[in-house]
Order: sequence, then C-alpha cells, then structure tokens
Amino acid sequence: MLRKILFALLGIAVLSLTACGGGEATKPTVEDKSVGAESSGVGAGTGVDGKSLDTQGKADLLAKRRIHFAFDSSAIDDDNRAIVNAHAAYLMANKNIKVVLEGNTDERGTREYNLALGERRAESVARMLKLLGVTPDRIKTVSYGEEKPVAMGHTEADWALNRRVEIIY
Amino acid sequence: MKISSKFMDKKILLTVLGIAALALAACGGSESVKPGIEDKSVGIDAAGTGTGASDMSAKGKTEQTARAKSEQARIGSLIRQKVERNWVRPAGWTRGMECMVRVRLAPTGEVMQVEIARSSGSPAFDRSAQTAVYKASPLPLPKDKRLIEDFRELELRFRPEGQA
Amino acid sequence: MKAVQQLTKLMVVVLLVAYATPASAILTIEITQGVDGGLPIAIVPFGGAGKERPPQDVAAVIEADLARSGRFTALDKKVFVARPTDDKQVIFKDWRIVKAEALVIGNVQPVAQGRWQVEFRLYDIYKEKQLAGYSYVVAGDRLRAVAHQISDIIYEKLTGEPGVFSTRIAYVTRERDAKRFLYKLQIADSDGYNPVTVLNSVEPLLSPAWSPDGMRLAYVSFEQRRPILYMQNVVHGSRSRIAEFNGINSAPAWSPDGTKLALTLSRDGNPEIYVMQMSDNSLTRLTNNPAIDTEPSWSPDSKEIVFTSDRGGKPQIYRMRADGSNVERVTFEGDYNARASYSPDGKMLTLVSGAQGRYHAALLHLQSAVLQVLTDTTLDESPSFAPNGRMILYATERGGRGVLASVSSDGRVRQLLKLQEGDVREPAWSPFIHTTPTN
Repeated sequence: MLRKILFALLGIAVLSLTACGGGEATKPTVEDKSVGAESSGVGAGTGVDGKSLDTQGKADLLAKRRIHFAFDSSAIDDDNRAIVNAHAAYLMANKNIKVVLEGNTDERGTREYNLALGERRAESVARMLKLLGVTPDRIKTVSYGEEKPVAMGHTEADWALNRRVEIIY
Repeated sequence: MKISSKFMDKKILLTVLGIAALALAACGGSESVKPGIEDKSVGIDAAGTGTGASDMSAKGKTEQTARAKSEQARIGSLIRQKVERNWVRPAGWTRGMECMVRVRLAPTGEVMQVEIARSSGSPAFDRSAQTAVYKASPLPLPKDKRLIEDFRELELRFRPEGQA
Repeated sequence: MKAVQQLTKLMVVVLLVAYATPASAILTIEITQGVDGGLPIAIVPFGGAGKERPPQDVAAVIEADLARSGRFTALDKKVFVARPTDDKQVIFKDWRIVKAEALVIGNVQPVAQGRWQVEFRLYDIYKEKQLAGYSYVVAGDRLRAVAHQISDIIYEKLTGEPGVFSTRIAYVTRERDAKRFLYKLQIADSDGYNPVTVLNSVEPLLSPAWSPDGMRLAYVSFEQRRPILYMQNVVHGSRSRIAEFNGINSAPAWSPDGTKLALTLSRDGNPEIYVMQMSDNSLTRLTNNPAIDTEPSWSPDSKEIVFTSDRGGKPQIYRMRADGSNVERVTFEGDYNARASYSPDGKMLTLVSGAQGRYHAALLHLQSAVLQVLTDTTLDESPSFAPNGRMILYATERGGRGVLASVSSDGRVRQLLKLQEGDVREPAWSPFIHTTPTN
C-alpha cells in the first residue's frame, strides 16, 4: 500500500516536473512575440501545477539560478517571480549570505544599450528581493550586457536563454 | 530752296530708313534662326522627345522653315543623349548641383575644347562633366551645312536628376 | 525738322532694339541623366626589374583601396590593350578605347638591401595630362603604407577630397581557447591589414573611442569583473582608469577638441550621460531621466550631443545642447534606433536602426530627416564614419562569426574587411593621422 502511494507521489512529482519543464520550453516563443511590451503573466496554467508541489517544488526553484526575460524587457513574469521568491526565502533564512545578481541580454541591438538593459534586469530582481525583506547591503548587481551569453547561436531559442539574470552566491 | 532741301531731307530720311529696315531684317533674320532655341533649352524631359522647340516662338520675322527648326531640336536631342550615355555621375552627387560647360566643335563635330563656364563647386563633378563631353566626341551635327554654324559653340548644363 | 528729329529718334530706338540681342546666342543643352558609378580608372600592374618580387603588390593594394571607397570602378585588366610602366609608353588613345577616365601606372624596383623604389603616375585620359607623379624609397615592410599614400593622392586629385587610406581602425576580437575566451583590443590599417594588439584580456572589452589627435583610445574593460572606463596611449601603451564608479562606467565619447569626454554612468541609480573634463576629472551630469540614457556622441562643432534614450518606451536617438538643455527626439522610423554618431560635416548621423528584429547600419540625413538603411544584413552594430565622411565601418555577422565591413556613404559599395581570427566587433575609425614621411 505504502509502495503504491510512494509510486503515485513519484509519478505526480515526475509529471509536475515535466509540466514545469514544458512550461519553460514554450515560454521563449511566446516572449519573443511581445516585442518590447512590459508584459507579465505567461503560462498561468503551469503555475497551478507548481503550487501543488510544496516543499519539493521550493527546492527545485532554489536550484534554478537564472531569471529569464522577454525581449527588451526587465519585467519579471509569474514563473520567474516564483524563483525569486524562493531565493528571497533562502536569503531571509540565512542572514549571513550575500548574493550577486548578474544582468545579461541577448546579442541584438547595440552593446552599450544592452549593458544598460542588463543592469536594469539585475536591478529588477534586486528590487524584488528588497521588497521581500532582503537588505540592500547583501545584494550586489552587475551587468554584462550581451558579453556573456550562455547560448552561442543566433536563433530565437539562443536569444531567449541569454536574456537572464544570474543569481550567484 | 526750301522745297528742294525738304525734298533732300526726305530722300536722306528714306534712304536711312531703308538701310535701317534692311539692317533690321538682316539681324532679325539671323536671329530668327536662333530664337527657336535661344532662351529655352532643347526640350529635355524624361521622354526626350525634344518637344520644347515646337513650344518656342521665333523672334525673327524672316522665314525660318519648320523643317530647320525641328532639325535643330533633333540634333540637340541627339547631342544630349550621346553626352548622357557617356556621363559617369560621380558618387555623392546631390540634386541642385550644376555645372555649365562651354564646348567648341570642329565642323566635323569633333570636340576641340571644353571649358568650365560655371563650376559646380565640386572638382569631381566638374571633371565628370568635361570628361563626358570628350568621351562623346564627335558630337552629331546637322547634315545641312547652313545649320552647322549654330552648333559650333554650345553650352551644356549638367544638372543631375533622378535618384541621388 | 521736328519730323526728322522724331524719325531719327524712332530709328535709333529701332536700331537699338534690333542690335540689342540677348547676351547668349549660344545653344544650351540640359544634361540630366547619366550612369551612376565610380569613376572608371585603369590601374596597370606595376612593373619591376630584377628577379626579386616585391613583398607586396602595390598596384593591387591601390586598386582595392580605390574600389572599396565606392568612388571608383577599376577596369578589368583583361581589356587593357597595353601595359605601360613608364611615362614614355603611355598612349592615351589606348585608354579612351576602354573608356577609362583616369590611368595609374608605376613600377617597383629593388635598391639597396631590403629597400625598394616605388614610382607612380596618374593621368587624366581625356585631358591627356599627368595629374600626379611621385617616387619613394622604402623598406619592404612599408610597401603597403606607400600604396595607401598613393591611393590617398589619387583619391584627392580625382575627387577633390582627402583620402582615408592611411588611417587606422581599432576593434575588439574574441577568440576561444580550451576553457575560456580571450579578448584583444587591436589597431589595424584601414583595410584591416597589419593588426597590432594593444591590450589582452580574459574579460570583455567594448567601445574603443579614438581621441581627436589619434594618440589615445578610451574603452570599457571588464577586467575587474564590472564595466570600468580606461584610457590608453596607443603609442607607448600606458593606461589609466578614467571612471570606476558604482554601476556602469561606459560609452566614452571624446569632444572634438579632445578636452572632454562624454560618458555613461549609472552611479546615481540609472544610466545617465555625464561630461568629464580631462584636465581635472570633474563631472557634469547632462541627463536627468529614469530611462536609460547612453551612447553619447558630439557634433563636429561641439555644440550638440546625440544619444540613445528609451524615455519614450523604446531606444531612439535624441539630441541635446552640449550643456544638456533642449532635448529633442530625432528618430521616428523603426522601433529601435541607437548608437548614433555624426558625420564629419555634421549633416548626417550613422546609427543602428532596427525594425521587426532586424538591425541595420543606417544613415539619418538631419535636415530632411530621411532615414536610409545601408545594408541588408540583420545583426549590424557600431557603425563608425571614416574621417572624410565617405565610408562607414561597421560590425556584422557572417557565417556565424562577427566580422567587419565597410560601406560607402551612398550605400553603393559594400566590402568585407580582411577577416581576423575569431569574432570581431566594436570597430572605430581613427581620425586623420598626420604621419611622418615613409622614409
């Protein structure tokens, strides 16, 4: 009986994980269409599944060290907000730890403007952490603009991966 | 005596008037060959039909056959076309640039001299205009020898149109 | 007698009218059409005595220079009916046949060890006269430099404007070794040859900017793991930090007289444009807006600064007086306009203009507000005017790599520069360099 429950739980966990993974994979194509709009709220459906995972989900969220953004935007959508929440909670639980937020952009447009946009994204995450109680002296932001991509290609998928803030402890 | 002197005066008057009239006719005559093309350029529009000549009014009063006038318009148009075929407009030309060159031709149409009458302000542009005329040598001339004289000295105004 | 007097007056008037012919009795013909293109020029391969071949093909370098400028069309050698290398051998008729308007001949002879004598002559084919002729003696490693000087002379004689073939370009390259990227700040000839590395780094470098005297480069370096502004003397390599405030320190732009630097700092909370006096490093803030304000560039008369701002929602070009007053927007087409800089005559801006995700090097004609796209590549960056305003250097992507290209300012001729190793980006064209004689 216990085994069945365990397997069921495992099944749900796996399903939920793939659901979350699927949500992120579809996000890039939706993001690119909202050209420059400060839009938030993408893929609300997956959020419901995420919530049902309580503590196991939070660990997954904390393991995510990247916040992603729509093109030319520094707005944080619901999925990414969940990740920031998880990190804020972690920081509040460990008051001696400091965090560095590195802002990045995709390669399109000019490098100097992207340097500024990367900073704006890092500041966006920093602002959220501060709202959740993390003191400013523990947060450091830096921008690399388009200079430190993680995906080297020139496709929409590569660009979506590069539009990010890295959370570094 | 009075009557005879009056009569003499009248004779002199009449003679002088006659000469004046002849002189007028002579000048007017040679001018009437030119007025057809004098103040207006030989009708250059995009279609290049040289219709301008027919719009012009001859100033002179002597006979200027329609055939001679249209021959001039035709030659003017042929010259224009040949020069335009040979004009390499220098990169960076802008509308409003204008260069006037004065050309002297031999009776065969061979270009003997091309000088800048009014510079465009750009040495490259001026040079391109001069070169175009040299390259187009010999310029077409009318078959009628009487009309060749009108083409021995020409002014060409280079004023580029179209997409800069 | 009254009648006679009146008649005389009448005659005089009539005669005056009859003889008062208009000044020009000459036929005037309007010439409005032509062929748009480069001046047709024949460049004959240079001669040379002796078995030794010179290490550089001087005529080929000249031909490439002139073609790249967009002002000349070099005629195909296959049609040449003669190959003179000496003044006595020139027959102008040979060149009229192939419709060349100008002719360049020359020769390169070895003299003392490792040194060469280069002679050239430039002719106007239709005027049948020599326009220029010079002789040089140089070491083998200076042959390209001499070729560029000859190109400058030919360019100037035939266009009336100074050539830029003896100027330099600065740019950044990025290569990869086993585990990390290597960045180099390099300076090369205007055609991309003879690169010299002036800085090596394992962290990114951006925005090299030449001082007006061509002696220094300002640039952004991440060697301290954040964007900091440096200045380096290109002759002896000494460098100093110009700005290392909190946040971003970037986008250096020299004032035309070299005494000030406009730059972008976000130390006050968001990226704003400042001006720094080079004499005492004092700062004046010019913009005051929560938006991103960056990429400043001075007008040649020092009175205005153009910059990129997204205060209207998306990046567009704005212009303000050099004291920060009177800000007005200048770009209205496309959804992304950035990195503008003035042409040397102050009449145009070159910039990156984007629409629907495609980014092109472009020109904005300031008086007419006409925006002219110069390329059909879609990932263009950092366009930079040549100091004679007739060519634009920019970075673009080709075959998955960053490369440099030049386009003539009328958009007609585009050329890739010699490909360097790795990814090349951030080109900056030097000012006119007043070189010492090549000997």
